[in-house]
Amino acid sequence: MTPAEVIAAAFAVTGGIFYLAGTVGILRFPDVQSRLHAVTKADNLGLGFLAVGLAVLAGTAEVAAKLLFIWFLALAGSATACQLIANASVDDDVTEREQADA
Amino acid sequence: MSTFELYAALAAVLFAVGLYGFFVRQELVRKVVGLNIIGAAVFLLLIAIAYRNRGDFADPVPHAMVLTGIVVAVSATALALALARRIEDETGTRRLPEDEESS
Amino acid sequence: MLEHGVDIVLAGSIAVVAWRVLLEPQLFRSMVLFIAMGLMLSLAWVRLAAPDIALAEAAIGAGLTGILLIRAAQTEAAQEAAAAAREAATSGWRRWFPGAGRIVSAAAALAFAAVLLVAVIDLPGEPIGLTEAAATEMEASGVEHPVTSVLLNFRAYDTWLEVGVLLLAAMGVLAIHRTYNLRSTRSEEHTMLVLTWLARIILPLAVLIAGYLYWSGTHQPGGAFQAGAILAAALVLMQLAGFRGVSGLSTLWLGAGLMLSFAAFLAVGFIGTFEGEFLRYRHATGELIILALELTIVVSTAVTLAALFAGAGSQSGDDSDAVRARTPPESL
Repeated sequence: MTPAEVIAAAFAVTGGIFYLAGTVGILRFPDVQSRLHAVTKADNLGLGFLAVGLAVLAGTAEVAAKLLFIWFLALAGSATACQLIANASVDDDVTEREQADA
Repeated sequence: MSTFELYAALAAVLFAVGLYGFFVRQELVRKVVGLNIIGAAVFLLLIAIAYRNRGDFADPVPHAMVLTGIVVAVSATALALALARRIEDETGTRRLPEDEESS
Repeated sequence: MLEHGVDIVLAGSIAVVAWRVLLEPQLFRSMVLFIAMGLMLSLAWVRLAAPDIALAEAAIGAGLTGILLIRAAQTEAAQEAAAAAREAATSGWRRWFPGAGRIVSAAAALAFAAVLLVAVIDLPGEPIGLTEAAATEMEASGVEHPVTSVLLNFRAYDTWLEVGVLLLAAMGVLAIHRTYNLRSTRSEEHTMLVLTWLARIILPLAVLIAGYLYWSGTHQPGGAFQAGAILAAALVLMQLAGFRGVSGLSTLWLGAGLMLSFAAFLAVGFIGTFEGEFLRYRHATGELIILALELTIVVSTAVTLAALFAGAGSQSGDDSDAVRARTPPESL
């Protein structure tokens, strides 16, 4: 293995650990908000480590830049989706509470 | 088991699953989903065969067919969902009239 | 073996998720699982050396089909509960009847799968595809990517008719819903600020990525349909965020966008007839013609897919009023 491959593998494995943590979180946490908390934070970091690892392996700056760009797009997408789902879940909670009161 | 055989077997399984869902599920939206799974199975079989026939690259003719197929599938899905929606608006049911009687 | 391990895990997961899509009693969950299946399928396309299909599957098969289905699940969620209750209330012998139907259906589905498997096993041992023919002819096509050369040169006829199918589907959806613009009535009422923010970021990037995919289609995976799907996604996002520029697109421009590609293929084909054959262009101008046709495909695909979505989302507004107005009073 070349040094670049060792570094890339280290980053990829670190990313994989974050993914694993996020998945455990989504399976084990009790409600929507805490699951979101686990999955967005852990997966964003996991993807970041993976992207950096692959960028090290890519060799050219062009491919590395594309990989980091993809990471940025995924960050924007997951941040928005997280906020929308969280909003929807808060709305659901409110209606449920109103129904319980009534 | 080669990669081709593995994905060809998956295509057969997906075909059976989609067909079963298409037959058994009575809600029209679910029937559309079943058809989409059948479509995915057909695409998978075509691409697996293209992979089997690869030279420097995989056979591009099935690739082109599947590419157009995916676009056609989404437009057909949209049309089917629109029709299902219209049936619901007109009759108040999300199933076909004959299914409604038998259930 | 490790190399196969990835494929085995992937194939197994796809089969399990497909089964769950059907079994899941809650429609919304079923649709989300369907999207997950689409994303896993696009990994399978990568494994099968089909990156073009992977791009199209992720954008169209999982993305756009997914939001169409989720829309269908959302608007009908209330009725679903009622339907489930009715199903649970069916009486004794009737409960047996669907059971028999299910056994017959399962037997038919398994028989089809078995026939498919036998057909696959029966395939001749020698590869019999058109890979070599495509490889030798590719230089004459004007582009350097095999899939693009098949799509826009060797089998341009198919692609033209496929563009026609898109046009027909868009006409059908818009006619059924009686909407002739890209307005999304449901979501404009409560636009989320964060969605507006994302749409503002995504639009320029989507144009950039679509342009990149369009251009790279001549020599590497990518191409017009994928580029069009990316643009369509940006248009859908802008509809959801309630951008006036998209929702105010006039019927005339919408129609022009829908028809552009079909008309362009027709024109190129017609001009081709003077040189011998319909839709045949095997000479130095090949690349220019392909690039021009692909550009029209990008525009038409984007507008058509956005229109399909706009049609699907337009029921709860003025359209249902129109339905109500047409319904005879005694049936109310």
